[in-house]
Amino acid sequence: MTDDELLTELAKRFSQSEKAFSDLGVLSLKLLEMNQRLEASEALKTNFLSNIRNEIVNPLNSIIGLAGQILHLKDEKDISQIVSMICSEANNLDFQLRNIFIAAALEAGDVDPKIVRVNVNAIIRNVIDSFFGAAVSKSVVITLDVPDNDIPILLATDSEKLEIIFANLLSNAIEFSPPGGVVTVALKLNLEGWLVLTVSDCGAGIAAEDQKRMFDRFTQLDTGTTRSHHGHGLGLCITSSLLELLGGSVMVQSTPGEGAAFSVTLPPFNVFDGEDTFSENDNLFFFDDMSEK
Amino acid sequence: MLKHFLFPGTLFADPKPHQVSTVLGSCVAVCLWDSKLGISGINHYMLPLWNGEGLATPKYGNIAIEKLFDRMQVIGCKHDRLVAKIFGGANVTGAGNSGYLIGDRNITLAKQILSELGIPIVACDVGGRVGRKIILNTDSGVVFVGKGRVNALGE
Repeated sequence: MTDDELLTELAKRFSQSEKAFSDLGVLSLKLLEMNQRLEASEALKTNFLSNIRNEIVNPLNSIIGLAGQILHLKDEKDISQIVSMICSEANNLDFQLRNIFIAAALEAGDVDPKIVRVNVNAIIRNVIDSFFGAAVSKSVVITLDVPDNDIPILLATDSEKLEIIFANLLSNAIEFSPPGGVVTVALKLNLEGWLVLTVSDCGAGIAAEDQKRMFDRFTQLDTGTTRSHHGHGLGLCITSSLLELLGGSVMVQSTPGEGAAFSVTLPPFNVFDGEDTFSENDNLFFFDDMSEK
Repeated sequence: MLKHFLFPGTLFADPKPHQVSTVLGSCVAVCLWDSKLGISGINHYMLPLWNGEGLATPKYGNIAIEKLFDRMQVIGCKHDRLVAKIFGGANVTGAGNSGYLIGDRNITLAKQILSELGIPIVACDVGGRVGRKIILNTDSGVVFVGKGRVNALGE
Protein backbone atom coordinates (compact mmCIF):
# COMPACT_ATOMS: atom_id res chain seq x y z
CA MET A 1 0.00 0.00 0.00
CA THR A 2 1.38 3.38 -0.92
CA ASP A 3 1.43 6.30 1.49
CA ASP A 4 -1.37 8.01 -0.42
CA GLU A 5 -3.58 4.94 -0.23
CA LEU A 6 -2.81 4.67 3.45
CA LEU A 7 -3.78 8.30 4.01
CA THR A 8 -7.10 8.00 2.16
CA GLU A 9 -7.89 4.79 4.02
CA LEU A 10 -7.11 6.50 7.32
CA ALA A 11 -9.24 9.51 6.41
CA LYS A 12 -12.08 7.15 5.51
CA ARG A 13 -11.83 5.31 8.83
CA PHE A 14 -11.75 8.59 10.74
CA SER A 15 -14.86 9.90 9.03
CA GLN A 16 -16.59 6.58 9.69
CA SER A 17 -15.87 6.69 13.39
CA GLU A 18 -16.88 10.34 13.50
CA LYS A 19 -20.20 9.42 11.94
CA ALA A 20 -20.65 6.58 14.41
CA PHE A 21 -20.05 9.02 17.26
CA SER A 22 -22.57 11.53 15.96
CA ASP A 23 -25.11 8.72 15.38
CA LEU A 24 -24.61 7.67 18.99
CA GLY A 25 -25.10 11.26 20.11
CA VAL A 26 -28.37 11.52 18.22
CA LEU A 27 -29.49 8.18 19.63
CA SER A 28 -28.84 9.13 23.24
CA LEU A 29 -30.65 12.43 22.74
CA LYS A 30 -33.63 10.48 21.40
CA LEU A 31 -33.49 8.14 24.38
CA LEU A 32 -33.43 11.09 26.76
CA GLU A 33 -36.44 12.60 25.04
CA MET A 34 -38.32 9.29 25.07
CA ASN A 35 -37.60 8.85 28.74
CA GLN A 36 -39.04 12.28 29.49
CA ARG A 37 -42.15 11.46 27.52
CA LEU A 38 -42.66 8.15 29.32
CA GLU A 39 -42.26 9.88 32.68
CA ALA A 40 -44.74 12.56 31.64
CA SER A 41 -47.21 9.94 30.48
CA GLU A 42 -46.96 8.04 33.76
CA ALA A 43 -47.49 11.25 35.74
CA LEU A 44 -50.58 12.00 33.65
CA LYS A 45 -51.89 8.51 34.29
CA THR A 46 -51.58 9.12 38.02
CA ASN A 47 -53.67 12.28 37.68
CA PHE A 48 -56.14 10.54 35.44
CA LEU A 49 -58.77 9.75 38.05
CA SER A 50 -58.93 13.29 39.32
CA ASN A 51 -59.08 14.56 35.74
CA ILE A 52 -62.05 12.39 34.77
CA ARG A 53 -63.89 13.01 38.03
CA ASN A 54 -65.80 15.92 36.56
CA GLU A 55 -66.65 14.05 33.37
CA ILE A 56 -68.39 11.36 35.39
CA VAL A 57 -69.76 13.30 38.34
CA ASN A 58 -71.29 16.24 36.44
CA PRO A 59 -73.60 14.28 34.14
CA LEU A 60 -74.51 11.92 36.96
CA ASN A 61 -75.45 14.82 39.26
CA SER A 62 -77.52 16.36 36.48
CA ILE A 63 -79.37 13.10 35.94
CA ILE A 64 -80.08 12.69 39.65
CA GLY A 65 -81.19 16.31 39.99
CA LEU A 66 -83.40 16.27 36.90
CA ALA A 67 -84.97 12.93 37.79
CA GLY A 68 -85.79 14.37 41.23
CA GLN A 69 -87.54 17.34 39.60
CA ILE A 70 -89.83 15.13 37.54
CA LEU A 71 -91.38 13.81 40.75
CA HIS A 72 -92.89 17.24 41.42
CA LEU A 73 -94.02 18.03 37.89
CA LYS A 74 -97.50 17.48 36.46
CA ASP A 75 -97.40 19.30 33.13
CA GLU A 76 -96.56 16.87 30.36
CA LYS A 77 -94.62 19.44 28.35
CA ASP A 78 -92.31 20.26 31.26
CA ILE A 79 -91.77 16.58 31.90
CA SER A 80 -90.85 15.75 28.33
CA GLN A 81 -88.39 18.66 28.30
CA ILE A 82 -86.66 17.34 31.39
CA VAL A 83 -86.68 13.80 30.06
CA SER A 84 -84.89 14.95 26.93
CA MET A 85 -82.28 16.69 29.14
CA ILE A 86 -81.84 13.48 31.13
CA CYS A 87 -81.44 11.60 27.88
CA SER A 88 -78.74 13.95 26.69
CA GLU A 89 -76.82 13.77 29.98
CA ALA A 90 -77.15 9.97 30.06
CA ASN A 91 -75.81 9.76 26.51
CA ASN A 92 -72.88 11.91 27.53
CA LEU A 93 -72.13 9.72 30.55
CA ASP A 94 -72.45 6.58 28.44
CA PHE A 95 -69.99 8.03 25.90
CA GLN A 96 -67.43 8.92 28.60
CA LEU A 97 -67.66 5.52 30.28
CA ARG A 98 -67.43 3.62 27.00
CA ASN A 99 -64.28 5.56 26.18
CA ILE A 100 -62.67 4.70 29.48
CA PHE A 101 -63.56 1.02 29.20
CA ILE A 102 -62.37 0.69 25.62
CA ALA A 103 -59.08 2.41 26.52
CA ALA A 104 -58.60 -0.10 29.34
CA ALA A 105 -59.48 -3.00 27.04
CA LEU A 106 -57.09 -1.76 24.35
CA GLU A 107 -54.26 -1.51 26.86
CA ALA A 108 -55.06 -5.02 28.09
CA GLY A 109 -55.00 -6.37 24.50
CA ASP A 110 -58.58 -7.57 24.82
CA VAL A 111 -60.12 -5.82 21.83
CA ASP A 112 -60.88 -8.04 18.83
CA PRO A 113 -62.59 -6.75 15.72
CA LYS A 114 -66.12 -8.11 15.27
CA ILE A 115 -66.74 -7.76 11.58
CA VAL A 116 -70.17 -7.52 10.01
CA ARG A 117 -71.60 -5.64 7.05
CA VAL A 118 -72.40 -2.27 8.52
CA ASN A 119 -74.83 0.40 7.36
CA VAL A 120 -72.51 3.35 7.86
CA ASN A 121 -75.19 6.01 7.33
CA ALA A 122 -77.34 4.57 10.11
CA ILE A 123 -74.43 4.46 12.56
CA ILE A 124 -73.43 8.04 11.80
CA ARG A 125 -77.05 9.22 12.22
CA ASN A 126 -77.40 7.39 15.56
CA VAL A 127 -74.26 9.01 16.91
CA ILE A 128 -75.32 12.45 15.69
CA ASP A 129 -78.69 11.93 17.41
CA SER A 130 -77.00 11.05 20.69
CA PHE A 131 -75.03 14.33 20.56
CA PHE A 132 -78.07 16.39 19.57
CA GLY A 133 -78.60 17.66 23.11
CA ALA A 134 -74.97 18.65 23.54
CA ALA A 135 -74.99 20.48 20.20
CA VAL A 136 -78.24 22.33 20.96
CA SER A 137 -77.00 23.50 24.35
CA LYS A 138 -74.01 25.14 22.61
CA SER A 139 -76.16 26.20 19.63
CA VAL A 140 -73.83 24.27 17.36
CA VAL A 141 -75.38 23.06 14.11
CA ILE A 142 -74.39 19.62 12.76
CA THR A 143 -74.76 19.13 9.03
CA LEU A 144 -74.46 15.73 7.36
CA ASP A 145 -73.18 15.46 3.81
CA VAL A 146 -73.81 12.05 2.20
CA PRO A 147 -73.58 11.17 -1.50
CA ASP A 148 -77.04 9.63 -1.82
CA ASN A 149 -79.55 9.37 0.99
CA ASP A 150 -81.44 6.47 -0.53
CA ILE A 151 -78.43 4.21 -0.98
CA PRO A 152 -76.69 3.78 2.37
CA ILE A 153 -72.97 3.09 2.43
CA LEU A 154 -72.27 -0.53 3.42
CA LEU A 155 -68.85 -1.58 4.70
CA ALA A 156 -67.41 -4.72 6.27
CA THR A 157 -66.14 -3.39 9.58
CA ASP A 158 -66.81 -3.31 13.33
CA SER A 159 -69.91 -1.22 14.00
CA GLU A 160 -69.30 -0.59 17.70
CA LYS A 161 -65.76 0.61 17.08
CA LEU A 162 -66.78 2.82 14.19
CA GLU A 163 -69.35 4.33 16.53
CA ILE A 164 -66.71 5.11 19.16
CA ILE A 165 -64.34 6.55 16.55
CA PHE A 166 -66.98 8.86 15.13
CA ALA A 167 -68.39 9.80 18.54
CA ASN A 168 -64.96 10.97 19.66
CA LEU A 169 -64.39 13.09 16.57
CA LEU A 170 -67.88 14.58 16.78
CA SER A 171 -67.62 15.24 20.50
CA ASN A 172 -64.32 17.07 19.95
CA ALA A 173 -65.74 19.09 17.06
CA ILE A 174 -68.70 20.22 19.18
CA GLU A 175 -66.50 20.89 22.21
CA PHE A 176 -64.08 23.07 20.27
CA SER A 177 -66.68 24.90 18.18
CA PRO A 178 -67.59 28.44 19.18
CA PRO A 179 -71.28 28.96 20.11
CA GLY A 180 -73.32 29.12 16.95
CA GLY A 181 -70.64 27.27 14.98
CA VAL A 182 -71.22 24.66 12.31
CA VAL A 183 -69.85 21.10 12.40
CA THR A 184 -69.84 19.35 9.03
CA VAL A 185 -69.81 15.57 8.75
CA ALA A 186 -69.05 14.25 5.27
CA LEU A 187 -69.33 10.63 4.25
CA LYS A 188 -68.24 8.96 1.04
CA LEU A 189 -66.58 5.90 -0.49
CA ASN A 190 -63.38 6.56 -2.43
CA LEU A 191 -62.39 4.81 -5.64
CA GLU A 192 -60.91 1.80 -3.83
CA GLY A 193 -64.13 1.34 -1.88
CA TRP A 194 -62.69 2.73 1.37
CA LEU A 195 -64.86 4.77 3.66
CA VAL A 196 -63.78 8.41 4.00
CA LEU A 197 -65.37 10.16 6.96
CA THR A 198 -64.54 13.81 7.55
CA VAL A 199 -65.56 15.85 10.58
CA SER A 200 -64.84 19.58 10.26
CA ASP A 201 -65.37 22.34 12.80
CA CYS A 202 -64.81 26.07 12.74
CA GLY A 203 -63.06 26.29 16.11
CA ALA A 204 -59.67 27.64 17.06
CA GLY A 205 -57.75 25.09 14.98
CA ILE A 206 -54.56 23.27 15.94
CA ALA A 207 -51.00 24.49 15.39
CA ALA A 208 -48.82 22.23 13.26
CA GLU A 209 -46.43 21.45 16.15
CA ASP A 210 -49.33 20.21 18.29
CA GLN A 211 -50.91 17.99 15.67
CA LYS A 212 -48.79 14.95 16.49
CA ARG A 213 -48.75 15.40 20.25
CA MET A 214 -52.53 15.45 20.55
CA PHE A 215 -52.72 11.73 19.75
CA ASP A 216 -50.79 10.87 22.93
CA ARG A 217 -52.79 9.51 25.83
CA PHE A 218 -54.14 11.86 28.50
CA THR A 219 -52.91 14.82 26.46
CA GLN A 220 -54.88 17.97 26.10
CA LEU A 221 -53.21 20.87 24.39
CA ASP A 222 -54.67 23.24 26.96
CA THR A 223 -53.80 21.80 30.38
CA GLY A 224 -53.76 22.95 33.97
CA THR A 225 -56.51 24.14 36.25
CA THR A 226 -57.51 26.96 33.92
CA ARG A 227 -58.18 24.67 30.96
CA SER A 228 -61.33 25.73 29.22
CA HIS A 229 -62.35 22.40 27.67
CA HIS A 230 -63.82 19.21 29.05
CA GLY A 231 -62.54 15.74 28.43
CA HIS A 232 -60.00 13.23 29.65
CA GLY A 233 -57.50 13.44 26.81
CA LEU A 234 -58.15 9.86 25.70
CA GLY A 235 -60.42 10.40 22.71
CA LEU A 236 -57.89 10.84 19.95
CA CYS A 237 -55.55 8.09 21.07
CA ILE A 238 -58.49 5.69 21.34
CA THR A 239 -59.51 6.79 17.86
CA SER A 240 -56.11 6.09 16.37
CA SER A 241 -55.67 2.75 18.21
CA LEU A 242 -59.09 1.53 17.05
CA LEU A 243 -58.41 2.62 13.50
CA GLU A 244 -55.13 0.76 13.54
CA LEU A 245 -56.97 -2.37 14.64
CA LEU A 246 -59.41 -1.99 11.73
CA GLY A 247 -56.69 -1.15 9.22
CA GLY A 248 -57.65 2.51 8.85
CA SER A 249 -56.01 5.83 9.64
CA VAL A 250 -56.84 9.36 10.71
CA MET A 251 -55.41 12.61 9.39
CA VAL A 252 -55.88 16.16 10.54
CA GLN A 253 -55.81 19.31 8.49
CA SER A 254 -55.92 22.59 10.32
CA THR A 255 -54.93 26.22 10.16
CA PRO A 256 -54.98 27.98 13.52
CA GLY A 257 -57.98 30.28 13.64
CA GLU A 258 -59.80 28.53 10.83
CA GLY A 259 -60.98 25.29 12.41
CA ALA A 260 -59.84 21.73 11.96
CA ALA A 261 -60.88 18.81 9.76
CA PHE A 262 -60.33 15.23 10.92
CA SER A 263 -60.41 12.72 8.11
CA VAL A 264 -60.79 8.99 8.73
CA THR A 265 -60.11 6.46 5.99
CA LEU A 266 -61.28 2.92 6.65
CA PRO A 267 -60.88 0.00 4.24
CA PRO A 268 -63.32 -2.89 4.18
CA PHE A 269 -61.94 -5.28 6.80
CA ASN A 270 -60.06 -8.15 5.30
CA VAL A 271 -60.92 -11.14 7.48
CA PHE A 272 -58.16 -13.69 7.67
CA ASP A 273 -60.19 -16.63 6.50
CA GLY A 274 -58.04 -19.35 7.98
CA GLU A 275 -56.94 -20.46 4.52
CA ASP A 276 -53.29 -21.10 3.92
CA THR A 277 -52.50 -17.75 2.38
CA PHE A 278 -51.66 -14.42 3.89
CA SER A 279 -50.48 -11.15 2.46
CA GLU A 280 -48.32 -8.48 4.03
CA ASN A 281 -46.68 -5.54 2.31
CA ASP A 282 -47.89 -6.76 -1.08
CA ASN A 283 -46.27 -10.16 -0.58
CA LEU A 284 -48.47 -13.21 -0.71
CA PHE A 285 -47.59 -16.21 1.41
CA PHE A 286 -48.64 -19.81 1.13
CA PHE A 287 -48.34 -22.11 4.08
CA ASP A 288 -48.04 -25.74 3.20
CA ASP A 289 -46.06 -28.02 5.48
CA MET A 290 -46.70 -27.45 9.12
CA SER A 291 -44.01 -28.60 11.51
CA GLU A 292 -44.36 -29.21 15.20
CA LYS A 293 -42.49 -27.16 17.82
CA MET B 1 -61.69 -27.58 20.73
CA LEU B 2 -62.46 -23.87 20.98
CA LYS B 3 -60.76 -21.77 18.35
CA HIS B 4 -59.41 -18.25 18.52
CA PHE B 5 -57.74 -16.10 15.89
CA LEU B 6 -55.23 -13.78 17.49
CA PHE B 7 -55.15 -10.31 15.95
CA PRO B 8 -51.94 -8.29 15.88
CA GLY B 9 -51.51 -6.16 18.98
CA THR B 10 -53.71 -8.34 21.17
CA LEU B 11 -53.03 -11.18 23.58
CA PHE B 12 -54.80 -14.33 24.68
CA ALA B 13 -54.72 -16.43 27.84
CA ASP B 14 -57.59 -18.64 28.95
CA PRO B 15 -57.78 -21.62 31.32
CA LYS B 16 -60.02 -23.52 28.85
CA PRO B 17 -58.20 -25.43 26.09
CA HIS B 18 -58.11 -23.46 22.85
CA GLN B 19 -56.55 -23.69 19.46
CA VAL B 20 -55.09 -20.24 18.84
CA SER B 21 -53.85 -19.34 15.39
CA THR B 22 -52.09 -16.25 14.18
CA VAL B 23 -50.02 -15.09 11.23
CA LEU B 24 -46.65 -13.43 11.70
CA GLY B 25 -44.49 -11.37 9.40
CA SER B 26 -41.98 -9.21 11.21
CA CYS B 27 -44.20 -9.46 14.29
CA VAL B 28 -43.24 -11.80 17.11
CA ALA B 29 -45.49 -14.08 19.16
CA VAL B 30 -44.37 -15.27 22.58
CA CYS B 31 -46.15 -18.36 23.96
CA LEU B 32 -45.97 -19.12 27.66
CA TRP B 33 -46.96 -22.58 28.90
CA ASP B 34 -47.53 -23.95 32.38
CA SER B 35 -47.04 -27.71 31.93
CA LYS B 36 -48.62 -28.74 35.23
CA LEU B 37 -51.90 -26.88 34.63
CA GLY B 38 -51.83 -27.34 30.87
CA ILE B 39 -52.55 -23.68 30.24
CA SER B 40 -50.84 -21.45 27.70
CA GLY B 41 -51.08 -17.85 26.69
CA ILE B 42 -49.84 -16.05 23.63
CA ASN B 43 -49.26 -12.50 22.42
CA HIS B 44 -48.57 -10.95 19.02
CA TYR B 45 -46.60 -7.73 19.03
CA MET B 46 -45.57 -5.53 16.14
CA LEU B 47 -42.89 -3.22 17.53
CA PRO B 48 -40.29 -3.76 20.25
CA LEU B 49 -40.75 -0.84 22.61
CA TRP B 50 -43.52 1.55 23.57
CA ASN B 51 -42.22 5.06 23.11
CA GLY B 52 -44.93 6.94 24.99
CA GLU B 53 -47.02 7.58 21.87
CA GLY B 54 -50.70 6.70 21.95
CA LEU B 55 -52.00 4.02 24.30
CA ALA B 56 -49.68 1.54 26.02
CA THR B 57 -51.13 -1.46 24.17
CA PRO B 58 -49.67 -4.96 23.58
CA LYS B 59 -48.76 -3.78 20.09
CA TYR B 60 -45.40 -3.15 21.77
CA GLY B 61 -43.20 -6.04 22.89
CA ASN B 62 -42.20 -4.78 26.30
CA ILE B 63 -45.86 -4.25 27.18
CA ALA B 64 -47.13 -7.41 25.47
CA ILE B 65 -44.73 -9.77 27.27
CA GLU B 66 -45.23 -8.18 30.69
CA LYS B 67 -49.02 -8.21 30.31
CA LEU B 68 -49.06 -11.83 29.13
CA PHE B 69 -46.85 -12.83 32.08
CA ASP B 70 -49.20 -11.01 34.49
CA ARG B 71 -52.30 -12.52 32.91
CA MET B 72 -50.85 -16.05 33.18
CA GLN B 73 -50.27 -15.55 36.88
CA VAL B 74 -53.78 -14.17 37.34
CA ILE B 75 -55.26 -17.40 35.91
CA GLY B 76 -53.19 -19.47 38.29
CA CYS B 77 -49.93 -20.27 36.49
CA LYS B 78 -46.75 -20.35 38.54
CA HIS B 79 -43.71 -18.35 37.50
CA ASP B 80 -41.23 -21.22 37.99
CA ARG B 81 -43.29 -23.64 35.89
CA LEU B 82 -43.52 -21.37 32.85
CA VAL B 83 -41.63 -22.10 29.66
CA ALA B 84 -41.58 -19.96 26.54
CA LYS B 85 -41.65 -20.51 22.79
CA ILE B 86 -41.03 -17.65 20.38
CA PHE B 87 -41.93 -17.31 16.72
CA GLY B 88 -41.83 -14.76 13.93
CA GLY B 89 -39.56 -11.77 13.47
CA ALA B 90 -38.96 -12.36 9.76
CA ASN B 91 -37.48 -9.57 7.69
CA VAL B 92 -40.14 -9.84 5.05
CA THR B 93 -39.47 -6.64 3.16
CA GLY B 94 -35.79 -7.46 2.68
CA ALA B 95 -32.84 -5.50 3.97
CA GLY B 96 -33.90 -1.94 4.59
CA ASN B 97 -31.34 0.83 4.71
CA SER B 98 -32.02 1.37 8.39
CA GLY B 99 -29.41 -1.31 9.08
CA TYR B 100 -31.21 -2.79 12.06
CA LEU B 101 -34.42 -4.54 11.09
CA ILE B 102 -37.71 -4.59 12.94
CA GLY B 103 -37.93 -8.39 12.90
CA ASP B 104 -34.49 -8.71 14.51
CA ARG B 105 -35.27 -6.08 17.10
CA ASN B 106 -38.53 -7.85 18.00
CA ILE B 107 -36.67 -11.15 18.49
CA THR B 108 -33.87 -9.60 20.57
CA LEU B 109 -36.41 -7.96 22.81
CA ALA B 110 -38.29 -11.24 23.45
CA LYS B 111 -35.06 -13.06 24.40
CA GLN B 112 -33.98 -10.18 26.61
CA ILE B 113 -37.20 -9.85 28.57
CA LEU B 114 -37.65 -13.63 28.95
CA SER B 115 -34.14 -14.00 30.30
CA GLU B 116 -34.75 -11.13 32.73
CA LEU B 117 -37.89 -12.93 33.91
CA GLY B 118 -35.93 -16.17 34.12
CA ILE B 119 -38.31 -18.04 31.80
CA PRO B 120 -36.50 -20.65 29.66
CA ILE B 121 -37.04 -20.62 25.89
CA VAL B 122 -37.72 -24.25 24.96
CA ALA B 123 -38.50 -23.79 21.28
CA CYS B 124 -38.07 -21.05 18.79
CA ASP B 125 -38.49 -20.50 15.11
CA VAL B 126 -37.52 -16.94 14.29
CA GLY B 127 -35.93 -14.71 11.68
CA GLY B 128 -35.50 -15.53 8.03
CA ARG B 129 -37.25 -13.91 5.14
CA VAL B 130 -40.70 -15.47 5.11
CA GLY B 131 -43.82 -15.16 7.20
CA ARG B 132 -45.21 -17.86 9.44
CA LYS B 133 -48.59 -19.16 10.42
CA ILE B 134 -48.68 -20.70 13.87
CA ILE B 135 -51.29 -22.75 15.67
CA LEU B 136 -50.97 -23.16 19.41
CA ASN B 137 -52.79 -25.89 21.33
CA THR B 138 -53.04 -24.23 24.69
CA ASP B 139 -53.41 -27.42 26.75
CA SER B 140 -50.47 -29.36 25.34
CA GLY B 141 -48.39 -26.27 24.60
CA VAL B 142 -47.62 -27.71 21.17
CA VAL B 143 -47.19 -25.18 18.39
CA PHE B 144 -47.53 -26.00 14.70
CA VAL B 145 -45.54 -23.71 12.44
CA GLY B 146 -46.21 -23.22 8.75
CA LYS B 147 -43.47 -21.44 6.84
CA GLY B 148 -44.52 -19.15 4.07
CA ARG B 149 -43.45 -19.67 0.51
CA VAL B 150 -42.99 -16.08 -0.53
CA ASN B 151 -44.47 -14.92 -3.81
CA ALA B 152 -44.41 -11.28 -4.70
CA LEU B 153 -47.88 -10.42 -5.95
CA GLY B 154 -48.06 -10.06 -9.68
CA GLU B 155 -45.32 -12.58 -10.31
